[in-house]
Amino acid sequence: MAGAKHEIASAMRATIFLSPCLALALTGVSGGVARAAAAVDATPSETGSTGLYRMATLDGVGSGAVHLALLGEFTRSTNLLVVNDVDTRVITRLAAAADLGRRAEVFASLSLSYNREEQPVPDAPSILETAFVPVLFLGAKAAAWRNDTFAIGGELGARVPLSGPGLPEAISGWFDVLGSAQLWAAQRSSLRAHASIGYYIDNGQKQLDVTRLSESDILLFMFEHAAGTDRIRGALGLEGAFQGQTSPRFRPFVEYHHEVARGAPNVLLLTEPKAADHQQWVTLGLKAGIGPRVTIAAGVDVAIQSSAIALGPPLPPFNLWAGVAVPFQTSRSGGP
Amino acid sequence: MSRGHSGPSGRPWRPLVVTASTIGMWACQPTPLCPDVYSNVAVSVPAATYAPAVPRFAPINAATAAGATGTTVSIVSNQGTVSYAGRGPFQAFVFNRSPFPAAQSTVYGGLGVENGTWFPFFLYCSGDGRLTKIYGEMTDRNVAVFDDVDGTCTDQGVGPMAPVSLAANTLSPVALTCGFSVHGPAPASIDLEGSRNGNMVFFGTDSIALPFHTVDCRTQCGTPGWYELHTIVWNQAQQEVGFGIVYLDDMQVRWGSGIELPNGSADDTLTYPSATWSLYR
Repeated sequence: MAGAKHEIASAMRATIFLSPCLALALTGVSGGVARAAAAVDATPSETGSTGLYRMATLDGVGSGAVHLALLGEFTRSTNLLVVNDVDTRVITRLAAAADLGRRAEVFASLSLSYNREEQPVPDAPSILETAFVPVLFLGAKAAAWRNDTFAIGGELGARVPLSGPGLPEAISGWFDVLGSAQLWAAQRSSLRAHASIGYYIDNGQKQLDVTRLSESDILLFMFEHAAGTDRIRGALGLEGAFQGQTSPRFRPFVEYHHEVARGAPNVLLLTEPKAADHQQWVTLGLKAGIGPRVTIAAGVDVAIQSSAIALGPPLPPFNLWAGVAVPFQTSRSGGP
Repeated sequence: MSRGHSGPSGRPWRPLVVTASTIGMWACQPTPLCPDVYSNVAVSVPAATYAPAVPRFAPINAATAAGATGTTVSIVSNQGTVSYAGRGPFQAFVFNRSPFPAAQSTVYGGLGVENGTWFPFFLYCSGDGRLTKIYGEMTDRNVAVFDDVDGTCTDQGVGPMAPVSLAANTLSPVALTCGFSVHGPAPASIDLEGSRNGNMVFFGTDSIALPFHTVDCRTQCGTPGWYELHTIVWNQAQQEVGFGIVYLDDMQVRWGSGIELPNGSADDTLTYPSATWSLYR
């Protein structure tokens, strides 16, 4: 009897002890199983903020890891900026994200963009222009509330041009509200949804001296520097996760982006009577976890609609991207 | 990645690529711009005095609000100064008037003159006496501004237009726009191609034609739609230089809404009845 009483008492103590732990896990204070699993595959997005590729999510926040990624993009399009032109752009990014405590993350991404624009001219040599554009993205995000199913937070960031005039006026910035939800989960698969909405303050054109430039000069600058006008931006993401007995972890995802220009158009590029102020694109991607640490990823951005050029450079029809990411656990890490 | 995994990991790309291709091909994209091409012709404009013998419309006073910066209009009895796009103020005069129902305005055509560059512009005047917009161009750049302005515009109580003295000037460089092809046989011959010097018969004489800007009015300017080539024409034999618009529509190719210097003619319309045209931008 004494032994039985002791067992019962131990079980009660364990139950009493486990309840707060379970509660903590469910409320996300110390992280849940699902979040820990998601954090394994959390990789920096283009800005460094952990997420999919073009959109940040809250999944990697608090995982206790420093995430590093090397990313590359390639796009080649014709008849995009100038009649019959050929635009080629190659971008390499070194992105990193690190936790600040259990609810916040700081991130950065150094982006080096090489642009080549060839414009054919009838009865004359083609016009060839190249540009090398280094940019640094910096920011932070935090989870305001989360449990194993839902998470809500926010992000602040800045885009700092590292070449050309106009600093600090040419620094752009954004703030986004982020949300994530687990729609479905099984032993070896899950489906998560992500959303973000925010505002992008685009000061990129402050580096541009327009007084003696032609339309194509201005548009080419905007394309090279990804400079447009202030805009409301929203994104929806859907992310699956699958893992077989022996296969790598696969995480296909799709992002839908919609932006509405709110700033003043560049009056020198008002080539259309009514300026279209919406732009939309989708990003399709696939991440594959190789072994316990490495994640490789690749995908494509596909343009749906570009805004008028007075409000921003046109989206290339296709933009291919790929990358590799590695997490490094910190000493405080409680995650895998 | 091991060979054993390469097969399964490659398959997901097929639907991705197919989907991407399907969507990307139908993406809505803005019209691409023209390459920076300039004519090698320096157009010599003789000194002129613009004084219409028989005014076709009542002269106007038009002005932007006091204190306006950037884009300004200061026109009294059809002449004065204008500035836009960081250029000017330059000498300017008004030579044309036409109703523009689609914009609920009367549009006054004018010309600004500097040595090297002409500045064709269009003032949008509402029925209640307001100057609401200005559409401005420049011959040395394939560019236009379409600025909202706050100002006044009236032909009530405006004195007669005094002669406008214009100094000799040379237009160079003249930008060459693109995206069109216009051809017509003699005697009213016209040959215009994008990014090239063109030629057209201008008052009976073959002349150099330099289209420097286009305006797409196929959908939102009126019915039926049309397309405009804003063009400098130089009749070297008669030493005449004109600014005007080559209109392309379903019916014909014609020249109009322009002005010729030094004679100051501003009400001429020329047609090129056998000409055909196409757009490729």
